[in-house]
Amino acid sequence: MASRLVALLLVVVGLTWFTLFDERVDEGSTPTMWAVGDLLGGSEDGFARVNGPAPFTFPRDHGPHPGYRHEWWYLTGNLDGADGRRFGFQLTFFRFGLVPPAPSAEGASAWRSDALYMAHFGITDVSGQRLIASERFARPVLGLAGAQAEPFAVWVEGWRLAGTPGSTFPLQLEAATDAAALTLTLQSDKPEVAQGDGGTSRKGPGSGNATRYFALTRLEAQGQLRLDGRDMPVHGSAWLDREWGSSALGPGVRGWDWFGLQLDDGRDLMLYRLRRDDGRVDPFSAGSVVATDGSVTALAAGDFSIEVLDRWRTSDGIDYPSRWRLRVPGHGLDLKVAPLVADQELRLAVRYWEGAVDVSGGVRGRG
Amino acid sequence: MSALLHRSGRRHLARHPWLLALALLGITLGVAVVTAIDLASESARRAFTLGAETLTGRASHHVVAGPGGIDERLYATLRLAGHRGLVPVVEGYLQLPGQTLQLLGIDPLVEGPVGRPGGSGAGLLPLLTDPGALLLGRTTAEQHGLTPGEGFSGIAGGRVHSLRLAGWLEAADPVQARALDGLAVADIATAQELLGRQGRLSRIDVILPTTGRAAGLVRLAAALPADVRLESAGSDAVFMTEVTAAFTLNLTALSLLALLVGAFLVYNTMTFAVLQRLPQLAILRTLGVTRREIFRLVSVEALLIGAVGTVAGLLLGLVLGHGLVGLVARTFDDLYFTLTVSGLFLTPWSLAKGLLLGIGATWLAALAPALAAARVAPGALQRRSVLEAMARRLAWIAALLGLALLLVAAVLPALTDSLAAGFAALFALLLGAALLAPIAVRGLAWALHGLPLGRAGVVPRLAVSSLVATLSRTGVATAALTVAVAAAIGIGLMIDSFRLTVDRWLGQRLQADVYVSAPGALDGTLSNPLPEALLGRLAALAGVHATSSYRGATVASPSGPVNLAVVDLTRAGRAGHVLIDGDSLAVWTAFETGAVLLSEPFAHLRRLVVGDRLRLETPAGTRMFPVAGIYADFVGGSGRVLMARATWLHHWQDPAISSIGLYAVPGADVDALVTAARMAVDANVPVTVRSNRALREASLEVFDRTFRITDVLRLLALGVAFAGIFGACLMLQEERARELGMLRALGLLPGQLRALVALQTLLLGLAAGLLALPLGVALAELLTTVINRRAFGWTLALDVTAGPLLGGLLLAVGAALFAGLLAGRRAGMPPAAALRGE
Repeated sequence: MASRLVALLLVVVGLTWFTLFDERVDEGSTPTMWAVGDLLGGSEDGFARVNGPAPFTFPRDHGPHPGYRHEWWYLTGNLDGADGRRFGFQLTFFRFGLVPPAPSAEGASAWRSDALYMAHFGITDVSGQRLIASERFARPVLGLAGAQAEPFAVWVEGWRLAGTPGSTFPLQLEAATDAAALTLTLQSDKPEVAQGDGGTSRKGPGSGNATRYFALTRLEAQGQLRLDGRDMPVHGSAWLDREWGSSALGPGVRGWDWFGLQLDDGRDLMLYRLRRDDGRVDPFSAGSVVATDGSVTALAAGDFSIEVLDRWRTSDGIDYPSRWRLRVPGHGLDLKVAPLVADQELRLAVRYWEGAVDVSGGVRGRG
Repeated sequence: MSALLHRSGRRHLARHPWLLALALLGITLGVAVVTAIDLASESARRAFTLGAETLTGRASHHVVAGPGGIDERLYATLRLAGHRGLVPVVEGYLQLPGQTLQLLGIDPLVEGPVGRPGGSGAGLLPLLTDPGALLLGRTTAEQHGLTPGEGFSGIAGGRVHSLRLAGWLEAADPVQARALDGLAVADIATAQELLGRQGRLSRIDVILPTTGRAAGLVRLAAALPADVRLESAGSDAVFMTEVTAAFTLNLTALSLLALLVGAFLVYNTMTFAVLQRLPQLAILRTLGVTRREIFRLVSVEALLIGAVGTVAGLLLGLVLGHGLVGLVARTFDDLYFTLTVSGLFLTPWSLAKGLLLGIGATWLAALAPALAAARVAPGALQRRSVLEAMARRLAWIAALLGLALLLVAAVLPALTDSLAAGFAALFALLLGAALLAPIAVRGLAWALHGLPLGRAGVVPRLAVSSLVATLSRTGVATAALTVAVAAAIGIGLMIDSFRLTVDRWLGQRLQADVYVSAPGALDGTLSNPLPEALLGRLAALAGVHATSSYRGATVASPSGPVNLAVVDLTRAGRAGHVLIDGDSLAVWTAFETGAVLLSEPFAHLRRLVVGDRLRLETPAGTRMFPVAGIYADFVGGSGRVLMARATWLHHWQDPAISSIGLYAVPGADVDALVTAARMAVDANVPVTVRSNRALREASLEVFDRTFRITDVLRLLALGVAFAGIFGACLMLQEERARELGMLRALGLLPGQLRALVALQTLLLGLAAGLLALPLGVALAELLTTVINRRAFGWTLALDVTAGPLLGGLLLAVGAALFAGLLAGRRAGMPPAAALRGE
């Protein structure tokens, strides 16, 4: 296709919350006193389990689910500046239950908390071939961090994703560091899409080894980006993943590669692949295709294939897949995916590669 | 030639191992005491600064407020407003058996704790979720026999808590490891709960990158409410260093005293060595050895002794320093701030100082003997009597010099107010007295001559006359002994006077019969104040005639933190404050209407006088408080400010009370009142209820603990003195071997000879002891009224008590007698040998 279509592709490669915390933590760059990985050493006992499909209720399910051990609000997207510059961005909020929620003891300090929040904010500057990323940690006390359904909000200190009073949409995004600041208004083009089996995404064998998972796969974004002290209007498209659960990955699973693709024909493709220790693909890998009208078709592990065409190695020797060929024969998709910037690794307390990519093939796109 | 000379010198000393040993011992002990004190105080100081650095991390500034700390909601507000680099801190104390730890509550999730202790082990999750989880330094944990995961109990905020070791604080290097000793780190929630400080932060550390720091600070300062301030980190540390400087100087001066006595021992030995070798030196001169070579010979000998003694002293100093560092830290603790010092910081400078002082003192001490040796004329077989005559002449010159020094000692303190001048006077007094000692011995001998000794027999007469005849040696020995004993007497009298003054002061100050106090009432770290309602409940108790209240608080001022004593006094309570300055009629009226009284050390330290204005930071900003008077007070080294409760409430609006005094109706049973007061207090509120007597005893116990280091120094000085006496007596007898042999040949029985020797040394000891009495009293006078006043701002009354005087005299006489008896056993050479020598 000759015309270059606006498509967004969002890829998370490597590690997300199940395995993130088992990975090495770069001591040099972590500003916190202890490896956050320590935090998931606790037991799953006492946390709620995800069992089977169930309908979502909105706006309640935009808010937090404190009974579960982990939860995230994972917003990624691509933006175009007025001068033609391209940017990727991410603002992600994670909630970690430290212990099952219990009523607070008498005389307890306000700081006593059974959960903590982590947030990552990143801007990929494509023309500058760089990624600017930072993180915040806070416990949900004294208003320092938290999440709520009505009116919707999730925040860690000054970084915030919130609805407007009286309605969840449009979403307002606010995040700033010394290096970059972003404010966006996000309007949803498609309704919430339940991923997996009726919103329940199995991650391994055994009952309860699953998450609740829905997504807003196409959000129209409009706002301001400040970079290098310069403010510029930006517009683009974003993807919000919402997921919560309590279990760890099944045995033998090493990492996971996640793709969220906004294709130029209006379809959105989500694929994730669980990589096993022995290099094979875990049978619980899955995906979905969301049509222009918002209807969703689930994909099982056998419905698609992911071929790694190239790899990228960090200076300290961590190896990430870097170019892929994705095939979904049932939907006529054969796509080549390449990152816009090779190094989009977030070297934070948790290290992972998360970045904007371009898509080419039968259907074009970018992200 | 010079090799031969040196060999002759060495052989001489080798033939007198006792002498050599004593000279070495003198210099070794002197250097050891100086080095040990220097290392110990340096270590305490370093531990303090290091501790301060560890606790503040890389913070360049602190956000601080009044005594109640900061509302934690302010922190959240600042964070949400986008202020970065803020680290909330809750601080307090945690008592474990035998050790008080600094408890540091932090938020391990915020940026900035880099530069703080790291945690290790499965730390973070339990630290955040287990209400009793703590991290300790590895050494501290091991001292208490704790391994990670283990439970233990400790006291914080006046309550006993069940705690658990969540992990070790891992240090990056050994220096940091030192700082971690005595530190307990907990999550901020845990710290608030343990200390009972829910809702409050002790401070907020500010860690900003250097670029843009100034702008960030300006923005932050603008965002703070009026009663919260932004302060530069390290201003506390600077203040504390100033406060402890005087204390450290005191210790150093006392340790130099020990070195002085050690130098006397060297002088003694070298003089003796030169006297013994006069004939030999004369022959050497005949053989063509120059004066310069003789001088060098004696100097090199002395320096060799000095070097060996100094090195041994440095080693002993290290050992001693380990023992003393705890005592020094203890005193810092009681006087200034809580401090944990686990080990010595070895600084090359401390060791170099010891080395220079040791060798320098030896060389100076050997200067006179070396010059005397160089003056020997070739071939002149100088007779001892000629030498003695010269010594007597020299004694007069020394006496004149001594008198001049005494004059300096008397005048100097009046000329300037400086502490250094006080110490200069102290040393002038000691040296002057030492120089007068030979003449004084002669005077004593004359006096004894005048006694009807004829009937006492030949031995006493011989003893007395030979004491005068051998002045060249007895004079120096007596001087050494006098200085040492006087120093011991002086320090002893000073401590006794101080203790008596404090005891008397406690008697005046503690007017109430029963005291009810909250934990931490005295150190200002009030975590569980007494409920205000308690005052009324206690006042209503049967047998209570009146009540008074006290509140300790630390507030900020432009010149550093100020300890406030907020009081609501009865008439008797007022009378308990002895005014040193101020109009006694008007002062209490002014006090009740907003003026403050300063404790004497406070006024001294901040150089404030009556009529000045004291600036304090109140919640409404900086306020001026007129100074109405200065009163005698011995609490803490940095002093206090006395403020009326009404004044406090007006400016600070903080009604918390630290302690309450109950005045019993005349004739009431105080013990019953103590019990009744205990019953009146809610069992959940941690308080101590003590009778006047018990509080007084506890206070004196603290006093004794504080001054234990001084006591130890006195003992060390005495040790050096004892070695000095002993050495001097042995030398004397050694040198008189031939004379005694003659006496044997003339028919004196061995028993008589022994008695002669013992009597002579006894006389020597007695002379030194008697001379030391007035000198000791003069020293004590200087120490109490000049040194203490200038160093700490305490006015003390000198009480001359019999104890230290008698003790000093007994020491002098006892040590001399012991040495005499020991020397007498081998007194004199066989008569034949002695005769052959003549």
